[in-house]
Amino acid sequence: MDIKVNVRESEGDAYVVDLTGEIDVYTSPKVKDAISELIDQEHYNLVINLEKVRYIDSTGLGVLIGGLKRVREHGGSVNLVCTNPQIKKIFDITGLVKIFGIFDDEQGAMKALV
Amino acid sequence: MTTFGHVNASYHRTYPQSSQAVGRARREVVDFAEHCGFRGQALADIEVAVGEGLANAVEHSQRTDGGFEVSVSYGTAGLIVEIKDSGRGFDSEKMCARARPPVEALRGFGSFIMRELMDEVAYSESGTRLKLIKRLPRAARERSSLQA
Repeated sequence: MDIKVNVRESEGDAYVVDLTGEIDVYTSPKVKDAISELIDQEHYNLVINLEKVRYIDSTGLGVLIGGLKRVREHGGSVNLVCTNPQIKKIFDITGLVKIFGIFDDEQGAMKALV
Repeated sequence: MTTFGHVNASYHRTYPQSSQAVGRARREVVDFAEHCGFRGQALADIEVAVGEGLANAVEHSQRTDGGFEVSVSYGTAGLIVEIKDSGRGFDSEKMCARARPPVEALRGFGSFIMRELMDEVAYSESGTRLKLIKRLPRAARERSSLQA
């Protein structure tokens, strides 16, 4: 399975990255490219929607952490939308719940950006 | 592959040395585990842990030839997944002794995740062979024995 990446502008200067599929060692460069492109264009408030992601590995986590580090350098933030308990478990055991805002819906994730 | 009616079943396959092969190898282990009776969170744990092991095999091997091998078996010890890469190996004792990486680390979560999700994780042959074991949860074991 591949990953589908859809980037769309939302309220204010925020952008939403919708991901569908699996984020692993093969597909994560595509996700990294999409996030990097937004940051290069000086968009520092991002919501990454993982609702349609059924699998993520540590390579994918590294991409998300890398994006978060870069936007924070500019006072920005990355919030995640995730309802899949199996993916939430990965964020939980790695302690990444402490650095990412994780929300059940896009509205909550957007609201928390501002 | 041998049949599942019950207890021993196994397969051994070789995959090309590419990150694209990781997804296929991972899904084949998951399909096998599901046939063995793993479901829900236990099955998801297997998928994530095996995916980490496979990704390491491809990333750390430092070679583009040779491929990697996956051996999977199911028996009284549970599901045993062995991943053998064609690389030069690494200091596996140091890696296994590591605590959880700092949350802002970009790398290093893979081995920690495997240890959290599997019942046993062991490296051998200078770190080029990884063995992962997941025991079938009790309820599923009872369901399997009724079906046998």
